[in-house]
Amino acid sequence: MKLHASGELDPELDARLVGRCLEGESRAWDALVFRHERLVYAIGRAYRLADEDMGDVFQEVFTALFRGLPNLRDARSLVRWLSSTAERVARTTALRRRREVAREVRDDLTLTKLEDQGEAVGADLERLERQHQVRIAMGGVPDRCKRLLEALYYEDPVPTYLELSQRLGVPMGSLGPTRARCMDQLRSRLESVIRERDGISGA
Amino acid sequence: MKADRSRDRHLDTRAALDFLEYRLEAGERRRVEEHLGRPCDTCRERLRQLGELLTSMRDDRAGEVPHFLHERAVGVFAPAGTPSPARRFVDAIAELLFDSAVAPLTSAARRDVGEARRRRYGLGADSVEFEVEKEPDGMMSLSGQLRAADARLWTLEVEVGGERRFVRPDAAGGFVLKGLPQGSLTLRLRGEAGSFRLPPLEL
Repeated sequence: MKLHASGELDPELDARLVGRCLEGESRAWDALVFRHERLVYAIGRAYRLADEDMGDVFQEVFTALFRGLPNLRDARSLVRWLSSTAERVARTTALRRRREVAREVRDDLTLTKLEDQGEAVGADLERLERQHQVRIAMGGVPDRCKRLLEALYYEDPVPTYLELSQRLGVPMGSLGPTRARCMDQLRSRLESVIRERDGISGA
Repeated sequence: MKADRSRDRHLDTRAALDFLEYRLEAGERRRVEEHLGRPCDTCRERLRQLGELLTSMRDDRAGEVPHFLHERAVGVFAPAGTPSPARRFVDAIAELLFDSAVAPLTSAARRDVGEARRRRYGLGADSVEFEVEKEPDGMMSLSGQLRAADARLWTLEVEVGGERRFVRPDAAGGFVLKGLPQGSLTLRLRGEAGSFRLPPLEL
């Protein structure tokens, strides 16, 4: 199934990309990475990893994914697999780094404290997966909607309607109705993404 | 009687968003609260779902994935097989199809794009059309549209003034790169149909 020019989400896109990766197509791998790297990044960020450690996590997680592609029976489970793998690798990396720091300062109390801090992050996996799904759905809405919704709901601080009006070249009075239409489109795309994850074909 | 009928009215997306974001005036907010209190399970559920979505987006503060991490993940790809013949293109030269400096735009098209120089290149069966404009701060911007079935799976790579920038088109193929320095610009596009390089452009 092709991705339509209208931006409609392809419910089998992951499966198609995985298939093309297995045929040796590097561009499919590039696209697969682009589609899901944000989830891995968000999990690494949750563990407050430095750039160098984050690079190691990316290397390890995506190497594992690449090696595991032939055994990936159902591409719909990809997000769940990626999040649990990234969480395990990030947790291990963060703990190792903290132990190194603690050893350097020879402070057992610090070590215990830092290990405790790491425990709470795993509970956020479901939230991070949900955020990832929303980001994927956002990729399927028209660019004009994407820019408006990103400004309103991802930027901090949230720009005023006056700022948005000037930035997007949209009259202030139409921002409210446009925002509602864009949100409807996003929700529709999100439902497709969730159906894809749950194995219900939207085709 | 009139007030009763207004309390019966269900919330559309705009009203629901305005309610959640405290953008309603006092009278309208009271009407919504009365409607919800009748109770209206449909609107309560609508608000709950929208509220969850907004919270998910506002809590998503991971930011964009740094390019070096993307490259690290992409770098683990090592094809086991041979790509299909259709995908073996390596930096094919894009074919110039149109240049407004040579073939002036129609007056209708000029109204849309102004006096900016517009060019279109063929990328196999696909094409890219773009224009370069000078920004008020002296920097340059490149904007256009990629006409390809899977536009958002393509990557545009721009090298200019010692900088290398990447952008992915949106689902409809639109792309914008702002803040480019002046100089000789090289544009490379990688996607479904292969990898294409455009002749250097002077900004």
